[in-house]
Amino acid sequence: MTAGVAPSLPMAMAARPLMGGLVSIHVRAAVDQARLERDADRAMARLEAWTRRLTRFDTGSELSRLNASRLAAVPVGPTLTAVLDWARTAESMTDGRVDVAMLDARLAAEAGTAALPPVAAGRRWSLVRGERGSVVIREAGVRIDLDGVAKGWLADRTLDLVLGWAPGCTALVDGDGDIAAQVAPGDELFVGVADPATDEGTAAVIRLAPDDGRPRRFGVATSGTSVHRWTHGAESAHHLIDPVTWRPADTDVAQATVLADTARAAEAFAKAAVLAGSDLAGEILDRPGVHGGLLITTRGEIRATPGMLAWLA
Amino acid sequence: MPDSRMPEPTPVRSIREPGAAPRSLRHDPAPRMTRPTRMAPGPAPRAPRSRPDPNPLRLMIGLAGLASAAAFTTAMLPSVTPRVDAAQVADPAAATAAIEQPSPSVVHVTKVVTLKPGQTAPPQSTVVVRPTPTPQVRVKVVTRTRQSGKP
Repeated sequence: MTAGVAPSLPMAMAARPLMGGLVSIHVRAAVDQARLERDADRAMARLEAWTRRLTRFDTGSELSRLNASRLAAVPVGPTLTAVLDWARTAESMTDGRVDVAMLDARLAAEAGTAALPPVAAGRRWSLVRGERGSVVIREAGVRIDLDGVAKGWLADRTLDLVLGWAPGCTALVDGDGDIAAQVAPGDELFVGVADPATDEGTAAVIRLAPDDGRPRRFGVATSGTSVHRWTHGAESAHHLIDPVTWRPADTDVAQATVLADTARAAEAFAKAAVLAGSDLAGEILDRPGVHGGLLITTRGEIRATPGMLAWLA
Repeated sequence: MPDSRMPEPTPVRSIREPGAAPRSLRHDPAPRMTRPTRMAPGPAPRAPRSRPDPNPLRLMIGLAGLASAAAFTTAMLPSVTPRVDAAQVADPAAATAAIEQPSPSVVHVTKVVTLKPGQTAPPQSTVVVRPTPTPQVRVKVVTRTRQSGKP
């Protein structure tokens, strides 16, 4: 039996710019506040170390070395192996919509140049685990962009770390919008959903609370086409690439927010819902582990799946 | 040769008639009891200036003052037209009908009094319970889920 955590208790917090945005860790428990502060700082340091291995914006990262290698088979460490393993799972869960091997298509969209001819992701790279480590085998020229896949994974992994130090606590890891949380019995957390039309506006509020007297884990993530956009002449492009066309997805969903069991699953399904469009998003979000979704269309409509209504504050 | 003789003085013409007594001697201090039948010869006495009758002007000024006082009094007094606040009337339609009556001398308007805690309604009054507003719960949001790179 786990002791409850009162919502009135203060939350320890650590925050810093990371992953191209702001990352924060929040912990609440009926223990010494100074200890919680130390735990949050330690978790932030580990999160920063993992991020340095997975970012494509640092030429010294493990991911950048993999992308720069001319070898067909490149050994990778345990952290990158775990994230690539999850990327394969996410690809399968979303019917191929989540594809991390489209870095060149994204860069082409950003630069306004022609995208490369699409090739099925399953044939472009594979991860082979062995006794002496893991190896990534790629076709020539395949480059990987982990992007939100890494952020969701990092949020979940960091939450695991915090809960290992303070089991039964209420904790939340915000990985630049992709959120992993555990809420203790008696406690609750409110997470706002950013309005894509404004900088500071909130379109809805999600209430996270356990319902059976035990701590419960959640994942909340948002994906969309309204932030990373580029204009080339009369054409506009965004960063969510359709794996079929290798061009920015033609979708009427400006933003999708998903509530799931984990942050990495929420991130994958949110991205898949945007890529699928509003007509198919309902089917995409009706999967095990997904509690609900909130779609904001390019027409300004807000659509909630039936499961999401129970979680809105 | 110039004539050194003094010129012959011109006789001064008296303004009095020859044989008239000096003015001082003409004054008769004793009041006359009868009007003389004949004026003494001499310049005619100045006729008294004719002045307008002040009474009509005084009457006009008085009337103007009364009119001004009446105007000020009318302006200072509250309007006799009932002022009805639709938000404070239980039935705004009835209040509107009351206002639109043609030149009422007295208009009875139903007033709404918001009772404070502990107050009781007056006898014969109708008590209307104000609908309870939907409670709005303000929550403290820990963070916001957002697209990456959005502040």
